[in-house]
Amino acid sequence: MRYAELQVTTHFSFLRGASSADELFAAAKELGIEAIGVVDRNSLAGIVRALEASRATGIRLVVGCRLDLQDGMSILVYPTDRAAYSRLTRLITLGKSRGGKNNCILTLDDVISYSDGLLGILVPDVADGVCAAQLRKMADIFGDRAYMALSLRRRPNDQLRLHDLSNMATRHRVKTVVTNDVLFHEPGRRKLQDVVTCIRNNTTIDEVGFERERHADRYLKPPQEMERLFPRYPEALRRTMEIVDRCKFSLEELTYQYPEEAIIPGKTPQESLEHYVWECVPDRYPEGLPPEVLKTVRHELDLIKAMKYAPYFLTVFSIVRFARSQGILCQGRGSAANSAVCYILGVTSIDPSTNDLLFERFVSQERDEPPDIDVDFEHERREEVIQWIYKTYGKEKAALCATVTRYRAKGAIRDVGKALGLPEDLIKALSSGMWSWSEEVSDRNVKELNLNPDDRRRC
Amino acid sequence: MSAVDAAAKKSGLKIGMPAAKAQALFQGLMMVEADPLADALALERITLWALTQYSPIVAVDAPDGIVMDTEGADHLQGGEELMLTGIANRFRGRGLSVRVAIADTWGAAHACARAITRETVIVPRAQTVRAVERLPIALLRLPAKILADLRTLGFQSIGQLSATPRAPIALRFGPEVGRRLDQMFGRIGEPIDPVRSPELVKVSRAFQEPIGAAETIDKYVGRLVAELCIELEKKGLGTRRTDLIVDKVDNTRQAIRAGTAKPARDVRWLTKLFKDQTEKIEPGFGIERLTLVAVMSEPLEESQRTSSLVEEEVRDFTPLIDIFGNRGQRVYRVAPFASDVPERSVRRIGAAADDVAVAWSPQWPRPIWLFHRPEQVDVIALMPDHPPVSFTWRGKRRKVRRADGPERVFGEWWQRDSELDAVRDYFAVEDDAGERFWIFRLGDGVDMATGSHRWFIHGIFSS
Repeated sequence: MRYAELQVTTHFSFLRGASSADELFAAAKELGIEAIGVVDRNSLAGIVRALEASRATGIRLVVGCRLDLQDGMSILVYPTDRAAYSRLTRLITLGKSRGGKNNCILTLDDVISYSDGLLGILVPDVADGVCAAQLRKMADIFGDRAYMALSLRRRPNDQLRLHDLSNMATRHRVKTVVTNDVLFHEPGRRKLQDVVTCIRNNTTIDEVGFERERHADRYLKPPQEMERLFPRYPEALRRTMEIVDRCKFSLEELTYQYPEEAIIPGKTPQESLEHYVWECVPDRYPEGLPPEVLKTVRHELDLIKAMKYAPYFLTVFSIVRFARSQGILCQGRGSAANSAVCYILGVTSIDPSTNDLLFERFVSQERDEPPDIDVDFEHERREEVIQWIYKTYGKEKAALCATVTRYRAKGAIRDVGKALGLPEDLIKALSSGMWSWSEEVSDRNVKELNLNPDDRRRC
Repeated sequence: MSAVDAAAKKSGLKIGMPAAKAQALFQGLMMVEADPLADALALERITLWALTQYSPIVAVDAPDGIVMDTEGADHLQGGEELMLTGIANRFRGRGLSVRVAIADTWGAAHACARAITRETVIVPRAQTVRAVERLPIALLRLPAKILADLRTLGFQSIGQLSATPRAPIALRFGPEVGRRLDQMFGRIGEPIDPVRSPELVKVSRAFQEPIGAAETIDKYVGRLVAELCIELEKKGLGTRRTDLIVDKVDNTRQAIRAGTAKPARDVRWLTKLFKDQTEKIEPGFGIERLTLVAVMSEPLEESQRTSSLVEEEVRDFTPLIDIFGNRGQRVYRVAPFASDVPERSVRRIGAAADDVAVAWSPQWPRPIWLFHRPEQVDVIALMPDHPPVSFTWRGKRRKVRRADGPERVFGEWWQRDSELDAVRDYFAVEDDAGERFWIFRLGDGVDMATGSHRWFIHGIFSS
């Protein structure tokens, strides 16, 4: 029996998922699940961690996303190739730009225009008129790429519900596939999941009521168990692997795409970069290039050529050139200061030869990741630079970098304490001790605060 | 030391001990400066609160008690026992420990409340002697000097003291000992002088000639109600609890309390509530004065009736609810509650409370009759999650023809330690006769930590 779990939510579905990608993939390996489809809510934020976990465990990662649409419909989408993946990212960007912070506004019409190459799995509730309409739309949009998820809820009339859903899907020519709607990797995480639900709803565990996840058993189960639970739907079980096989896309296909710019007509980016370097030399070294610096520059340019990083240097160079031309103060910092090329181009202001710094700390062949050049701009005029970047590259192609919200120990303790209804001063006492205890709250420290570590509200 | 908590008592500290000695006895003792004035004020505040909640006649029993005459008022709380546990729960909810006792006399209740180790006690009628005879004489409310001398003479319990001839004791200590004993055993009366808050809306009528006939009482009660309603209207209030206090010529006092589920100011309604109860008044030698007090009142605004062509009549049931409530029945409504554990999925709410927003899922049918306690049944079933093949309940074996399940219900881990990992798997099963039952197994069938795998029946569906 081969089985892939296609509906897995990591903790990047913030305050919904209760397990990390590492835990999920490790558990999947243990249980013999062949592939995991990561579908966070309206986000692909979790897939980088998932990729790392997938590399570490050897369990195949199927990149996907759960789209919660405005009309209440939920679809899991899986890109089959790279083009479909970029359509999916564009779709999510569209929704996020409409929705603002922590929100994503998408309708079925948006999905239609970006649906090429995406597999769609409908997440149904019960087999009623709404579900029939959704199935019809799924068949229209996705054609032979339309599926419907069958998941056990462990609630009354479960089998009858699956039976009705399966029949209805067949009538609408939509294939069924078994999923488990996983929120955590092992059963014990249920309590943590309850707590994060409370935090999301801004309430306490005593008040949360039916806002809790009411469908049971949302942990990873081994293939044999899934086979036992769905004896009536062997073909829907097999389709999990079918979907995995159809989704050829892998994150490993992604490479950096640099903008083409500051290129002198008729020259390659590398030649242009070299051109600018030699052009700028007199600004830095009016008395001519000392021979050892010349050696360094040659070495750096060779390395940049080998790693094909020239376009990136050109981009930074043109931004700095703009800032200088407007008289905006700017200063490169960090590891870029190790580079003679950066110094000559005016990105950094420290002559690496006087300090004998090592370029390999900045770019090296062993470490196969592009360099990052940090440039600080005068904060009062930073906006001008930002606007220039938007103007030059286009609003669609330039972005301010943001981070996805995650918990640090201190904030986590505060929110969990609130959700459990602990008094404010106790939460403060617990969280203020966090600096010294870093990751873990040990029993000993809890005892120092005269608390009972065995209390169930504080597990 | 003027007060010690339970833990301090355990380590041998006593009230009246010098602070230095206590500190020597127990290292790291936490001491708080006594503030008798603040304590007295707090006690008075609680007394005034108790007046609105429990009884028309409530007084401070200094320094650490409250005395109430609950005769004729306990029915509003559902009877004596429910009233006592209710009082205990409300104090505990505020983090205060409390001892409550009901007895025939102030003296007996005072002694019992201070002698018991549990929270509540009810001394049955005419059982006062048995209840108090073994209690120490310290509970007799006698001055410390007399107590010490009595102990020197060898008196320990109230029983011993009351069995001793009265004359020599009266000669040695004065009349105080005899008076306290008589008060405790109800041989002489001890009227309670009730606290009154100045804000209470109150009307009263004194009679030149004591009255006694039922019709006369009814007539004056009616007039007082009308006066009270006018006073309430001036203040924009409606009354939730109203006391009728009857002062009789022999210096005894009787009180009748009427409660309403919503604030009320309606003369007819209130008169009806009192007239139902005036037969309880025993005029004795005659009534000197009638007083009507709205002890608990809430704002009540006049609202204009909507006028439309089609008159939508909203039937107000609250007068009916009040009539039942004042007869001593408990009136409540049952409402759904947001919990997956069947026992917790319903709760009682006030009869006039607003509707609750929570509703059960219509997709998940529940049995029409949920047993008060699940009953254990013998079941033959395949593990881990198959429905029963047959089960034996109350000696009768039933074969299962159809079944649905399992419905997995998790314990609410934040409620009790025992529910941390607890799971119940519910099955709806139908037997050969077409009767349908709700059966569950403790545990998820795999992990013994989630439950013992024993089976229970928890309800019956309508067939």
